[in-house]
Amino acid sequence: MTLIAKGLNALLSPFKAMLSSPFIRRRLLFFLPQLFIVTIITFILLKLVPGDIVDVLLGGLSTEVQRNSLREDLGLNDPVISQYFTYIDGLVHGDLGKSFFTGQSVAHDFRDRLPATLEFITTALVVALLIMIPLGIRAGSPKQTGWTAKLDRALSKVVTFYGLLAGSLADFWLALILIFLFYATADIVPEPGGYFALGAEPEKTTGFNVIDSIIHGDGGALKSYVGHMVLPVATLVFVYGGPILKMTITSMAEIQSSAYVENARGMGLKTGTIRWMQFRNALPPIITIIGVIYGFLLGGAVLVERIFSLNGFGNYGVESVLQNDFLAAQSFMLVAAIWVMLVYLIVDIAHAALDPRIRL
Amino acid sequence: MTTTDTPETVDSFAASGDGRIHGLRRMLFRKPGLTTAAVYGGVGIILLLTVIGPSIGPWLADAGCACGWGSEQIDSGHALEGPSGTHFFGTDRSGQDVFSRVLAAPRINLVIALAATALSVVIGVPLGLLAGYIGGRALAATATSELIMRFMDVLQSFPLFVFAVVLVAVRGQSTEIVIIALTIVNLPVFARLARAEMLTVREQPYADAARILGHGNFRLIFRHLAPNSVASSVATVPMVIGFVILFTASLSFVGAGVKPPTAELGGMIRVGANNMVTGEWWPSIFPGVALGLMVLIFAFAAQDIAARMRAVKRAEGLMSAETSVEAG
Repeated sequence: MTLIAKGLNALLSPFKAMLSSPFIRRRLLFFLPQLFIVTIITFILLKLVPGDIVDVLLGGLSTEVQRNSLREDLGLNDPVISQYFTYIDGLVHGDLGKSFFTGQSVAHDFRDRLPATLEFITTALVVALLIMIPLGIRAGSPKQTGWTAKLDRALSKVVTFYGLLAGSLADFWLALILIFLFYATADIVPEPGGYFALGAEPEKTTGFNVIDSIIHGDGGALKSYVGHMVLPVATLVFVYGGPILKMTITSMAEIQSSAYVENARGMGLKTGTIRWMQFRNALPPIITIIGVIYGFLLGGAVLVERIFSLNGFGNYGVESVLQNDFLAAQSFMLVAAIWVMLVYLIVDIAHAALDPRIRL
Repeated sequence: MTTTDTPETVDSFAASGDGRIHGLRRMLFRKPGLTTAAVYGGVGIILLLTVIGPSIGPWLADAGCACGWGSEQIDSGHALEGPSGTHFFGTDRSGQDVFSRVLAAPRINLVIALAATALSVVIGVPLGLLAGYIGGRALAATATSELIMRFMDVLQSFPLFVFAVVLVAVRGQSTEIVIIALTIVNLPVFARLARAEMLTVREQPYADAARILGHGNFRLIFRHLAPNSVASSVATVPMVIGFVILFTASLSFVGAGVKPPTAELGGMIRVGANNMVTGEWWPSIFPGVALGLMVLIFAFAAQDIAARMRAVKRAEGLMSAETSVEAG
């Protein structure tokens, strides 16, 4: 028992140190006003809808009675200030409103879609990191001598161009190209559409497709999932891995010419050892860009989701807007913005963990 | 890599004496190399297409080669046909000529990109300069400055794409709304950059000197500080133009951007999207290549201008700034 307590303590102690740092405290405190402004903007957004929101939500074929009752439900007869407080009160109690498009509560819709989307973008991010970080380290700290020096220089040219290219390609277009190449021409991936082949879905427990497949021992579902996700993940990796790679190279290259790296080289340390030192100090900007991308992707993978008919979170947001389902759109914006702010918070904490100077 | 110490204060005074916008001017006009020429040649071609692109299809028809089609003209008997002598890039599913549409499309994409970028510079930079100048002084001023920047933070934490789609959906689908949506999306970028530079520039000795000479806030900001605080904003413009072109195409791709039948690259890719799955590649591939090339050219321009800025920054740190730039 005490052993477990000790272990836990050891695990948590860095975080405790974090909490006592003035920077982190200020940063956590800052989160609340941010949240406040976000809710104000999402609240105002609904007010920007021209005409009577009730008409827009119910569509043309509604009776006066229906409209009045909806107006009453939404509290539209109250003064604006109290409408805002009703809105906040609902949010605090987990009430995100009702979607007129799906006929479900928005919270229910989110529970349906968020896990799968999180799984998708996290997979893409992890794959991107596994490929781009080693490449970036190598290209950002090329060897100066020996037979690999030429190889390193060539690599750094190639990846620099790739970085520019990745930033210039539309993700939706790349997705179409991949479909054309690997489905329409080579026919080595299943027909795009959904997370699984029809009928191969695992029983739904957590909403995370991989986890569901595994806990129900459904090997067929897992296989189908992997087949369907290869192209979407590849699209995200190619397009959004670019900035990560670019940042890794720049950050590594900047440190490459610093005095302590020169010194380490002069002392005859192995390149691998030096690169590791260099990488640790190059990390902060890399973490920032990873955070920006991860925050963006929750709602930003929408075009890729649409092309592969993944019924994901971003697609839900765009679909609700296109269907005039503004209550759902409002909650989508709120959740996506909170997600971004949470990711940025974690990024800042990571910066503080890496660099003691920031913690002051 | 020089290690000689430079008397920076003296240099800053000297630099401020004969031309406040020297840094900016030097950044923009430097001896062009071969790649630079290629990049700006590319930008020139895009600009040229913006002007004459939509007329090329009809002009080819007048030239009598039986291959000219207007960008919105429909060859109904030949829908979804592959590239041929009549339709160089084939036709899309409604029989529109992909070649003349690809040539016509950069106009709307570039007009939106330039307008949105210009607007976000015109609004964002002064906001950032203001926030940078008044921050950390009197309480009310600091509060205003903080408010502006925190608002920018929150604006950036919103899912930009859906935010733009919402604006378009709420306010109606028109080119003006797309421009406004993209302006809002890019405001924070310029506000942030301008503020960051203003924060360092306002501490420079020449700012104090001007203040001691009795210049008011207004004159101080506009004649002395602002011209020295906009370099990084200017350097970011090509990147933002590229980003806006991509963003507009994405909006059109979900049907919330430029309305058909106006030729627009994202909308064209959308039209051909279903055909890609069944193997007809030409309606989507060609506009996608055009889109990629356009953005890539602006990415190269951004890289080039960033390199110039680094060179200028380095040169400003040296005693003989003028000669070191000449020496390259």
